[in-house]
Amino acid sequence: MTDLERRISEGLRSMADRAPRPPGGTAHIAKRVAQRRRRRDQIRMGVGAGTLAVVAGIVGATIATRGGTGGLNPVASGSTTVLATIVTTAKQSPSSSTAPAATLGWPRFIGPSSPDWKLQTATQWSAVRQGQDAWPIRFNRSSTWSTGSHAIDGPYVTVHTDVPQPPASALDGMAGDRKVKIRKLRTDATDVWFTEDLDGHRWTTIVRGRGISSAALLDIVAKAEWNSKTELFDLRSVPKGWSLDRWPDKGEPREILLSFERADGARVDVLLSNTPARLGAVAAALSDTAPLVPTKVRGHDGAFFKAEGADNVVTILWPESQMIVAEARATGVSPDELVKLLTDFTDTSAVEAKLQRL
Amino acid sequence: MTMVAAPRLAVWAMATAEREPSAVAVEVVSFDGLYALEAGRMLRLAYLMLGSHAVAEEAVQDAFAKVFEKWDRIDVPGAYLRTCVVNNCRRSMRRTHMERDRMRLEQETPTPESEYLHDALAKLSPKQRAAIVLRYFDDRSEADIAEMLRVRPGTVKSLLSRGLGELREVLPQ
Repeated sequence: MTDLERRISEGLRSMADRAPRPPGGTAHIAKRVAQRRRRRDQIRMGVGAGTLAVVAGIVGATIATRGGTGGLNPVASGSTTVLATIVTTAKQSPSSSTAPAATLGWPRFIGPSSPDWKLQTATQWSAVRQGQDAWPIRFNRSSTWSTGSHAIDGPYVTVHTDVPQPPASALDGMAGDRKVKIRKLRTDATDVWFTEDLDGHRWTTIVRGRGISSAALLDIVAKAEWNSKTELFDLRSVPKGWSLDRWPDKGEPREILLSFERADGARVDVLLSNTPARLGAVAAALSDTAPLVPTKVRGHDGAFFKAEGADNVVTILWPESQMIVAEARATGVSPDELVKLLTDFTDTSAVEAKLQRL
Repeated sequence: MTMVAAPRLAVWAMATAEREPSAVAVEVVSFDGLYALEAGRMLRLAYLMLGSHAVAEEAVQDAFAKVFEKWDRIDVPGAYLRTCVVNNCRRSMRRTHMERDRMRLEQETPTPESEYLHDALAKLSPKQRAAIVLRYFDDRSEADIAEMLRVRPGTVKSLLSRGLGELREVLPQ
């Protein structure tokens, strides 16, 4: 060992001596094991930001989501792909519900200019993500983030699910140069941290742990007092190369959440999925508030579900959705028109009733 | 609370005891025994790699949780644990890249030599840092390090050589 190596070795040992002592006993490990198991179960459930968006949409919160398997848009950044979508809310004008994006000059909607509905897809989000650097969060590799320029003026709430880091450090990173207080809200299912600036504006919300029950999500939504623009993140990795500017090819394990708004202000979410587990997850997520019942679209039985009492959510098993897509293609129906077809049987009155109950 | 996991032959414990005379070698070890024997050292290892007490604790606790879950399927729990810790640390380092400029070991009363050292460590790449810590703190062989980092032994030599070179530049003569 050279003199340099010896000095380094001694230096490392000296530094290591100042490392913290581990907690005595293994109770904290037992707790962590339980957390990991619970999380794994919940991962199987697939409940994350996408579901939160759906649930929040049902309760009428103003939510914009970025991320989640319910999302639409892959925003590839380093090794991570982040799905993105915006979900507008019933009785909310697009301009207000997507105000953060509007602030940035985001072209909110694409697709046909049909007056009775507007389809939002990921393509625009990609453009936004690639074309501007003012979005408050920049993603870098491996599902982490750093604080951006915070160009948006005013309170802006971000919600993170599946947070890999200790919340404090994540919040610290999110807070940037602002002076913030960190507050913690414990629900029965997960921990939620908030940052608030000195004016009491809430900026960041972190929901720790992927997958929480819809009841807990509702609880969070209720307690978070969503009075400002809200963004949800779900940082789980998703397959790359997906874009909603085309229909998925056969066999592609993909999901699409089509989220659009009709002229009467009702929002309709249509989830196309080839994963029965996802259907189960969505069903489970919604089951607290709205049992899913099989329904029927264009003669295809059994694979279509809508939430009873929340008829704006439709889930379609992939083989059938592929049939529909194939049928749409064969008959020259565009994706946009297809979505319109799917909305024909939605009933917004049930949503209204649910909102009133809540 | 005692973790309920089947006791097992602890080859690793003997090896650990050889390296670390203070460690108590036992023939049959429970998960609790593994924790008692390795937690402190793993925490120090993670701390040196990550430079943060909180993140190091996360990495180590998560590694122990993984070991517990696979207890019945692991032949050498100590080695598995170490690999988990190293992997967790590397993942964590990659995740943030430790935002090199920001990363500083949380030393409260640094000695001059270690002050230079932790500054210098912060400038190394995650892989270099892992290699240096494993070699000169954990006394791992280059072959062991190669296995843990999943690189070729030649790469370990290179990592160590370049890492040492960078440290040499910074440490006072």
